[in-house]
Amino acid sequence: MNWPMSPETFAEVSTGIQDELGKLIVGQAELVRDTLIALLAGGHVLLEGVPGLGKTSLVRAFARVLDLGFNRVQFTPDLMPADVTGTTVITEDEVGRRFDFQAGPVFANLVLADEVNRATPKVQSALLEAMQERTVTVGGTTRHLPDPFFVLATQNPIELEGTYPLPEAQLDRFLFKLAVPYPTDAELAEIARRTTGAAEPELAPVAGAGEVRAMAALVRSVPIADHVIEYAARLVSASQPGRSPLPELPGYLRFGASPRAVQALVLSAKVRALFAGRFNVAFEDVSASAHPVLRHRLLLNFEAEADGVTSDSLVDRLLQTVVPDPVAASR
Amino acid sequence: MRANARHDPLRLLRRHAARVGILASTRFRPSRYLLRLRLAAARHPSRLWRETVQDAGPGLAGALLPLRRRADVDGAIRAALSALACWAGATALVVAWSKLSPVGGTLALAVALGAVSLLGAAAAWALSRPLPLEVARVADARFGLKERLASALFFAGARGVPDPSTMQRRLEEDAVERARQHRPAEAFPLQRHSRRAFVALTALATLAALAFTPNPQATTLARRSADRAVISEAKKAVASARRRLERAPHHGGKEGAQAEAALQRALVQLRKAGTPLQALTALSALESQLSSLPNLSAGEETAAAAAGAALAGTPGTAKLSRDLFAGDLKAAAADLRHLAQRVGELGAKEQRALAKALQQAAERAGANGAGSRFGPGQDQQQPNGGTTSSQGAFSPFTNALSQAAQALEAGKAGAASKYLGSAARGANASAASASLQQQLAAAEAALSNAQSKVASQAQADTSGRKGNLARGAAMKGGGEKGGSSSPRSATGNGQGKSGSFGSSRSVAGQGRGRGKGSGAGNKESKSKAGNGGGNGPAHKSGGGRSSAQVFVGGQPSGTEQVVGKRLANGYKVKTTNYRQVMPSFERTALQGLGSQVLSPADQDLVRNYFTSLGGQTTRGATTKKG
Repeated sequence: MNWPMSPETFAEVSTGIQDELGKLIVGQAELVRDTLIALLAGGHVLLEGVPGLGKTSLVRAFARVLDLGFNRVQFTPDLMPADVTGTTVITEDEVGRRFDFQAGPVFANLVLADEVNRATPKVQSALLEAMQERTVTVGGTTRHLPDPFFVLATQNPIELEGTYPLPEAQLDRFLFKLAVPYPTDAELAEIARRTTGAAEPELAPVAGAGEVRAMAALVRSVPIADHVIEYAARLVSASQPGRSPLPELPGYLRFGASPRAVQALVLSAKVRALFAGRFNVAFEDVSASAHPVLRHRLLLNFEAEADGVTSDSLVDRLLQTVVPDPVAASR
Repeated sequence: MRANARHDPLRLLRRHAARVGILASTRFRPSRYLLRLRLAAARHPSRLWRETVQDAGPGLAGALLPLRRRADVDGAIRAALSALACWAGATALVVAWSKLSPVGGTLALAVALGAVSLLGAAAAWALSRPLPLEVARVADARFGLKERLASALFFAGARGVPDPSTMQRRLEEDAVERARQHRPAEAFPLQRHSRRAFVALTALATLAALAFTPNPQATTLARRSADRAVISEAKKAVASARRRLERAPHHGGKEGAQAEAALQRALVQLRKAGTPLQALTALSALESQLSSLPNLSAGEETAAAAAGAALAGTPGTAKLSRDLFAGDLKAAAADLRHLAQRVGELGAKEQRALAKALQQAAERAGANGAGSRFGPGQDQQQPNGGTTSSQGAFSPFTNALSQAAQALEAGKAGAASKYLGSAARGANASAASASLQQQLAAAEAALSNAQSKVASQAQADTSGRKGNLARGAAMKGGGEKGGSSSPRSATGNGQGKSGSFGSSRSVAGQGRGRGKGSGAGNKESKSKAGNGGGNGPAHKSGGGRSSAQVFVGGQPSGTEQVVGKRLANGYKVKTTNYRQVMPSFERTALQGLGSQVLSPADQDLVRNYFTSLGGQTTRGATTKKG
């Protein structure tokens, strides 16, 4: 099987994308990298951070650099599902009156679901069906979303009054949950310099939908040995309260990660391997993806919140506990 | 497809078989497992390995080959060190235990443990030989190859992929290139075994320290070993005597059967004996039984000698006279047959002289063979008018001589010839009987020797002294020489029968009777001549240097009690309570009773003596001590 893009081209394009994004996004290199990984792995990203950290700007920049169709949906409590997916409207012309489907903002390569937790569950579920199935069914007709299709949703960890936290099943559909950190002092200064001048930085497209599809196809062809897959599986298993080797974990968790977590770990690890110029997946690729993959899949209970235990700290404990290669360690 | 292959039982079996060097190929069949094992042992390991990863391609195989070899060496070192530590630890425990308790066979146990450890190490090494993929994973981890090698090998070895993608080819090239930048020793460094080596060396040092520490149980072990040796020697002596007796020509008789049964009983008891004392009991009983057997051949030889003397000077009987005098009854029988053939050729005068000589020979033989089968016996009237004796087998000899003399006197040469033939048969029967007696005598001599050693060992065990075997030998020598017996040996054997008994009895086969000596080193103890009729050398075993000291077994060293004639000479002596010495005296005496040549009456006397003392000892009577 020959792939449409060589690993070298993959590395070149991905580096170009990150460099181009770096023109606008100050710092946040890991965030940019993880977002790109999720996009190339074919997954959706939930960005969480306080307002003003550049979440929306990041998504817009991605759309511009990747030269993809982009739509933004500002989720509000009065938003209706049809406002996202589209609806059938009556149109009248010379022929007569008929029902036409008016596509919603979800019909784009890159959809920004801004403050997704402010919409009602009904709207959230409409979006999440599109995310999972990559189709939209309106009026009994199923319509395919464009390829590639990525949803980058943002949510605000504060101002939670009047919000509708995403249910676990819907959270699970996001490949990554990325926490947008505060910029450092130097980054803040740079942000100020770049955005308060006469001219804002212009982003040029580095790749198009075709390149993105080729890159995604290449990602899936990266070989991963059984023992590396087994490591990912052991990580996910260890996150489940009944099967975890961590004694403290059952006391803090309601639910562990689902099988989608393994898929997310493996796919994202493949992208990381290509980023590293390797032709195989290493243990470190899997462990590097553990935080964004497991962060939103470990459902903490009240005791965890009371003790100040976060899902990230539990993931750290998992990474410390689960040995990547027991065979090598035992010899 | 690959997943299906991984769950294929045959493939799984092949993978496990590869652990012990069996080829992990699709050609592998379980039925050929053993054959392949043998082939594997004959091949070079690298050859096996190459075939195992033959699908990996030359580049990957070449990169993995030194790693696999190094992994095998690493596994061998690990197994060897583990086995060494286990062996040294286990052996140290055994050695330590042997110093706390008298455990024999420590060296053999150590050797056995070593063999088990070696086999275990070999088995562990064979079973834990890493698969090529495991080697690659270890190399990945140690070289920091980011799973390149293992991934390349995993996909290279995966069958059922018809068209390996370029990604896999690139992966293999990348893995090989990076793997070759490292030395195999980096993946399997010797330093990793430092902890194991430390444990093994510590165990070895402990073992060496224990091995070079003096063993407080050595004395006990040596004594036990000596016990086993003397018991084994006694068993051999009894078995040998039994074989000799079986080979004797006249062993089928009543005496032979009794002797054989006694020997068999003794052999059984000796096999059960765990201590020299038990062996001594068995041997003593055996000796008593053998001694109680009637010894008729000694009288026969005396009677034959007397007959030979009577025939001396008679024409035509010179050789017969010599043979009879020498006790060679077999030759004498031939001479008699010869004389019977030519008696008719003699003249009347010669016949009368021969008749007279034969009559005298018959009378002298009858007179000297009293108590033996040469004795006169009770004459019984025969149908033909003759008489015969109801005495033993040799009575026909004297009767036949007498009848031959009477026939010659009456001028009946034919009848005389017939009676001479009868005399020849009687002499022949006695010769066979004498042979059995010789074997019995030899057996008794051998048993006496063994008994002396066992008694000495038993005495050493009782007193806790060393040098038991040397003393036993000294005692035996003293007994044989009579006067030179040492006091210790005299009591050590419980006044046992001296070696002179055995030797004199064996000589008795030559016709000079046997002499019995008590063998005690006591001057007062004189030998008792047997039934040798004055011909047997009477042994005076106590005729040499006198000794008034008798060392009593069972006393602590340095506090040996001395009793003897000096008490009667007015020596100033210390006294000690009977109860302190009498039990040991009694035990020693009673143990030795069975080994002495004492008549039952004398044995009863000894028993009665101690029985009579028993009341006094309980009353706290005292004895004098010099």
